[in-house]
Parts: sequence; structure tokens; C-alpha cells
Amino acid sequence: MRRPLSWSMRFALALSAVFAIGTLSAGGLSYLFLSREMTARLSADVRSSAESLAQIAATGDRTDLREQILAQVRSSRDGASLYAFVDVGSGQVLGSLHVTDPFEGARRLLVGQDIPESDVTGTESAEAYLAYGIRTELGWVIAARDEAWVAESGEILIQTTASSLVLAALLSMGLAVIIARKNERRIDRMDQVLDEVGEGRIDRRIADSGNDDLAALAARVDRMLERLEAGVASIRQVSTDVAHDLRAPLARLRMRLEPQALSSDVPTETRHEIGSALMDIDAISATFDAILRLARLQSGTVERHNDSIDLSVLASSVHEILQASAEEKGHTLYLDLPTILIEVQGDEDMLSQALTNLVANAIEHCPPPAQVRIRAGLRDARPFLEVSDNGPGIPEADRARVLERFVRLDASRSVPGTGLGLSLVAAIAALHRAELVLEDNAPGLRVSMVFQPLAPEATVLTKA
Amino acid sequence: MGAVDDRVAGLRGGADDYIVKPFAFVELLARIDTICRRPATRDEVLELVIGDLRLDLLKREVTRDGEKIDLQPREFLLLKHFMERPGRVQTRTVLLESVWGLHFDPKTSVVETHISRLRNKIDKPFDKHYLVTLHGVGYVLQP
Repeated sequence: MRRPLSWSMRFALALSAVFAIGTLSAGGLSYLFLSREMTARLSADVRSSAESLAQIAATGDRTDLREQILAQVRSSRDGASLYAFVDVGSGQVLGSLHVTDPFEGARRLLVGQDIPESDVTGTESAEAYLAYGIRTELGWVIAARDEAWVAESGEILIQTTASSLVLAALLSMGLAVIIARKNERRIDRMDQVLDEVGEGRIDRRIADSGNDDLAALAARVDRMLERLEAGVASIRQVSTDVAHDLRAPLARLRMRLEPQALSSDVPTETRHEIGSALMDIDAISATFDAILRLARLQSGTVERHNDSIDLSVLASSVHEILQASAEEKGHTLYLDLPTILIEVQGDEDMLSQALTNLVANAIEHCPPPAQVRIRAGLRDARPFLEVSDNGPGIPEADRARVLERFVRLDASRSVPGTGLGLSLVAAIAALHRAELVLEDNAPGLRVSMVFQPLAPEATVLTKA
Repeated sequence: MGAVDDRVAGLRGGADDYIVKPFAFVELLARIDTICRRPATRDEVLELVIGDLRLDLLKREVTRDGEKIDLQPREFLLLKHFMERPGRVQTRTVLLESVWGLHFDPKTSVVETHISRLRNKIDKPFDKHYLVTLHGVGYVLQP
């Protein structure tokens, strides 16, 4: 059984996604701010370069300016910075930047359009330059700087962001999955414990050792189970006490009567009467036994054996024990066995009692001659034990009710019994996680105990 | 506590026998009796004889007055149980446990039916009746 994606796993994935989106937005914003800031700095830089050249130009010393520009060009051979002086008189351009149309102020120059490509052979990636031009008395001085490093810085930022995003996402996903797995295990454990408690193992506890809301929930469930167990124990104690207190006087009564039933001094008729009284006492204690056994079966506090039980052997043995009784009542008891070996895990005594009760019910409640059939087999990979008869059956409306304690249908009032037989069967079936199904056998009743499907790996052996 | 489970737990735990209140005094006697004579009947006795009733443990054959009587396996075990304890009252519970191995009440006349069938075979054709019903108490094989 694969359950849907657990809440903790979903939470983990959602958290990772939020984290990734957050990192991406932060990266995007940084890129935006960074490139704007760098462009601004670049602009300031070219402007101050142009201004320092303009200051030299302002002195009117053309030679000095020329030397200064050539020095700047030499120091920037890689083509990252370009300089130009356009003589106002001759229109001659001096420097590494060959602009045809001098300008004032800031401008973005595209390579190949505003600047000839031959100017930028030193660099590989230059596409555009930020330039600043100033008009002096001698002419225009222009400084330009390659924009590429802004873009490169942006690329580096993107790469850094992306790789840290991937790394962080992997880490956070991994951590989230580990935490989710751990929580899943804890929830699985709760599931398992609650299942076991449902099957009657009321002493099971989750005992989560964590320190969070899940642990708090587990602790509350444990406390609830504690109280439940205490409640069950006290109820059991009360019924035990009552049964015990009534047993003692019953025992004394029996002790007193029994010698009289056996004494040859007592007239035969009186002995017979005393014998009948003894039988009544026995019937009362049998009912007590049944109540106590039922209480223990239902509370799951019985010692339960877990044997591999061959259903054919079980059904045959019950058939053998009850066949004579059935015949004596005028019924026929049939036995249908599977051709393969079918085993279930369980307590042999209990299952034997359950099947015996079902057959005894059929024998006692069907008017003779009836056909009672015990079947064992496999249906949809589920082992089953079934008892069917062609007697009066049970009306559909009463079928659920007859499983309750002390319920006896009017039709069966004349038959002796405690009204606990089917309740016992139901309790035994529940302990074995078997389904108890009452159906119309048209005519008659068909009761089946359908066990859990055989595990796929369990081998079904063909009988030799 | 007298639940079946306690009896089963007691027996599985190594007790020779287990009896719960309210019990029949004769049942207590019968149980003590059974335990005391167990070793004697284990290996040496090959034939049980009560009056003209003979039960051959090896051939699993029963004869009365020399005449062979056909018994079903369960009837044979039942008679054997009685012949090992002549004159001792056997209750229904003791018989269910010892002859059928049942630790619970089968809610139907298993013991009564088999006693009646056994009686038809070993007593009915004869004058002396060995198997006696003690109403409300149990059954006894009177030697």
C-alpha cells in the first residue's frame, strides 16, 4: 500500500521551491542594482578622465594635451579605454578613438556604428563604449571606456548566484527529504501502533523520543492508550471480581448438593432432582466462563498462540467431533476440503472453538433433517472456513444483531444456549483479523470466516 | 480466574491438571486418580478386563462375553478411559478434555451422543449394564 505523498514531504518540497524562488529573485535584484551601479561608476570614470584632459586643454597648451593623450593611449593598449582629441580648427582626430562626429556630454558608442571596428582590435568582447566629450577652446576631448566589464561582472554574478542556488537547493532538498523521511518513519510507527492497538494489543505505545508537535501528539496518544488500558484493566477486574464472588457460593452449593446426588440413602427421584439442580449450576458457571472468555477475547488480553494451522486438519477434526451429534439429531454433516494445503496463522484452540460453535449452532437451531456443510478453502486468495445449512436461516435485518452479546432471536428461545456463541466467534474472528460474513444460503444460513489474503510469497503447496 | 485460557495456560505451563471453581468433588477425585495411576497404565497393561468386558490395547479390539464388538475410534477411546477408571465417576468436562482434547464446551451433545452409542454396543444386548449415568454428575463404569 503506497500512500499519497506525505505532508512532511510536500512541506519539504514546497519549502525548497520557496527557497529557490527567493534566491532567484535576490540574484535578479542584485544583478539589476549591480549593473546600474557599475554603469554609473563607469560614466563617472570616463567623465573624470575627460575632465582631466579638458583641464589640460584649458591651459591652451596643445603640445601638452597631445602628449597627455598619447600617454593615456599607451597605458591602455588593451583597448579598454579610448581617448580622442578633435582639433576644432583642422578637424583632425588625435588618439585611439576615431569619431567622425564629436559631441559633448555622455554618450553610448556602439562599435561598428559610432566607432570603427579597427579601434577595438585589442579587446574581444567590446560591443559598446561609454563615452564623455567636452568642448574646449582647442577642440573636443573625449574619453571612452569599454562596457564589457559591466556585462562580465553581471555574468560572474549570475554564475555565482546560479551555482550557489543549485548547491543550496540540493542541500535544502536533501535536508528536507531526510527530515521528511524521519517524520514519515515516525508517522508509520504511529500507524503501526494504532493498528496493533486496534487488534487488541492495548499495551503498545508509540514512545516517540522527539521534541516537536509530532512528539507531543504521540505523547498524547500514548497517554490516551494508558488511560484506555487502565480502563480495560479495571473493567476486567470488576468482572473478574464479580465472577469470582459468585463462583465461591456456587462452588459451596455444588459441594453441598453433589454428595446427595450420589448418595444411595437418598431416594432415586430426589437424586434425579438434585442432579437437575447440579446441571443448572453447571449451566450458570458455563455462562460465566463464556462471559469472561468473551471479555478477554474482546479486550485482547488472552494469551494467544500463533501457530500455522492447516484448515483441512481443523475442519476435519471439528467434523469428526460433531458428526455423531449431528446424526443423533437427524442431520447430515458434510465436509468439503480444498485439494491444496491452506494454512493460516492463529490460535488453534480458538479457531477450533469458533468453528465448533458455528457447527453446533447449525445442529441446534435447524429442524431435522437438515444438511450442514463445513467447508474450508481459498476465495480470492483469502483462506476461509464456512458453515452452511439449509435450515430456517436468519432474516437479513437480524444478522448484525445476532453477533452482539446475549442476543437470541425469538425463533431460538426454545433451544438452550447463552446467546454468547456467535459473539465468541465474532471476537475470535476479530482477533485473527478475519471477516465474519453471514449470508443467505437460500434456504438457510451461511457463515464464513474469511481470513486475510495469503502473503504473495507464501507458497501454496499441492498435496502429494 | 476460571477462564479457559487460564486452564490452558496452567496445563501448558507444566501442571499435570487444572481445575476451576465451582468444580464437582467427584471430578477432583477423578483427576487426582487419573494422575496417580498414569504410570501404571503406560507400558505394561496390554489388556483391560472388567467382568466379561475385555479391551485389547494392542489389537484395539473389544469383546464382551467373547463376542467381538465394533467400535468407532472415538468410542474405543471413551471405553478405554472408563475401563482404566472402573467405579470412578467421570464428568462431562473430564471426558471432553481426555477423550476429545477439547478445552472448551462444544455447546452440543458430543459426550451424550457417544455415551449413548457406546452403551448401545456394549450394554444394550446384555443383562448387566456397565455404563451408568449419574444425572447431573457424570458417568461411571460399574464393575
